[in-house]
Amino acid sequence: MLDQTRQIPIPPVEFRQLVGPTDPKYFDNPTGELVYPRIPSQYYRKVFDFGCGCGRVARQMALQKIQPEAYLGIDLHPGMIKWCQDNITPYAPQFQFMHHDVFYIGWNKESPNKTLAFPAEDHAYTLVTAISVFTHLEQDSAVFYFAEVNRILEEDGILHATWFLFDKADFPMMQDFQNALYINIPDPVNAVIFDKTWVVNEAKKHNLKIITIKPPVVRGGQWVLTMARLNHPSPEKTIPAMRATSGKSGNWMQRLGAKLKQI
Amino acid sequence: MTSIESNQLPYPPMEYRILVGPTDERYFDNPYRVVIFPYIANECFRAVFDFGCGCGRVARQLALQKIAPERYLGIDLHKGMIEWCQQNLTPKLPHYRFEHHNVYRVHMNRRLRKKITTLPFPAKDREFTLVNATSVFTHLVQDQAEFYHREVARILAEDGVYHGTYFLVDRDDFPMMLGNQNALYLNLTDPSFAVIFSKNWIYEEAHRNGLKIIHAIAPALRGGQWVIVMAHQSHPAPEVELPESVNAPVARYYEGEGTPLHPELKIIGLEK
Repeated sequence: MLDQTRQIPIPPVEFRQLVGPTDPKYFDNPTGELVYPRIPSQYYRKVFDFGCGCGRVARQMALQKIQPEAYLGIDLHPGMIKWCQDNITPYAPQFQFMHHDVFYIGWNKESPNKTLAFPAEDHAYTLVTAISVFTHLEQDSAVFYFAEVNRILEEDGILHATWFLFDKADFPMMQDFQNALYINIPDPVNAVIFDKTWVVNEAKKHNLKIITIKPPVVRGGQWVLTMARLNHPSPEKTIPAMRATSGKSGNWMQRLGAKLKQI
Repeated sequence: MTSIESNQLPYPPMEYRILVGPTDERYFDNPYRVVIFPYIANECFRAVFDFGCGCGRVARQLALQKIAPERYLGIDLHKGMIEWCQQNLTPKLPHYRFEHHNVYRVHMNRRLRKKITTLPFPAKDREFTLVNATSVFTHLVQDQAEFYHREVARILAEDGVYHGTYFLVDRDDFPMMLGNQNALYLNLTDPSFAVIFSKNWIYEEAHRNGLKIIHAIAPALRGGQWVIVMAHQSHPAPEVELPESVNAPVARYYEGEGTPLHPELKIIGLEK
């Protein structure tokens, strides 16, 4: 099986550019290790990849020594899904891909749907992964998909997702129902930053708690949160203070100085 | 200038006061007749342009100063408030004028045939010694703010000052903001509900328009409004850095449901 999956091609660069890192090493897994070292191997049995793009995670999982028994990747980009169906499934038949036909101004602008139910049965998956997905969902869409994750996750399954987070204590002008910050009005899902307390509370509403936290390497970057059912034996983790994270620092006025001279 | 007493000037009706922030009459009053922005030199109050004058809160306070403006022009997009000011303040203060600024806003001026979001100020170049914009740039999207910064620079007298309030963040906390993205929005239905700009951008904006920041007051509560005072580059006052605000007390608490706001928020008008 592994010999066959090693033949899976690297996606074309025009797709890679749209999903983030373009270097083929980010699509590879030469040692066959688990792609998320913090998540034990038993969770990789049945994987649902929400926002699978052009199959970066799929390719890496297909190259794991312990491969998933079943994998379903969905994405709103029809071209990427077609590429995955044509180039990954033939080498790894347990890897399936489906177009998730929801609207996005850049990639799927004809769709009338803001959200759609996952094409999955209740409690069907042991691992739901969503890399750079909740960072691009409006607040009401995020609530919808939290409910979907809760529905399709096995009783002992886990959600592995990335988030932009902020502390609402820094934004007292926000009302109780406003829990997301947006940077682009014409394209609101360009980037969406959620209040950390809201994420914790919304997870609980959907029977989930945070069990591992990986803060961003760069301040303001993506947080990796792993969530499990409330009755999972792992203790709930608390998201640390935002400013405790490392990253760009120093005097912003000094950095700005050179730029101001040019104006 | 003949001084006027507080009891000669009516207070705006409660329904207007609720829309602009603090409703208590003391926020519309000036019993000690002091200059309302004590960090601004008296001579700057000579000719005042009040961008977003609402129902005349600042106008009323200015009129009660010992050193009252010789000339005042207030503009606002709320037609009802402007009419109230014209009918209730101008008769007592003939050198105070109020004009409707007929631009679109979803909650206060939505009946425009065309969604005009910016209009030039009804003022000549270099006409005013003080331009005030309290809780205005906190409700303008970035391209509107850039338009109105140009207008501020245009109408500001060579020795005048601009006094505005802003919500500000450090862009380093939001590295996903790229290129010319310098504002955070929290309401997609009404993006002007509250707009938070990056600190870098406010400096760049000042420089782009031939201005510089000469005074800055950090919010009393974390995340509240900053007071920014700008002047032309030729002004003798030195440019200043924004002070740190990280250690300001937190205004919002997470004790139980409802997240009640800190009572002092009313003082700085955040409820607008």
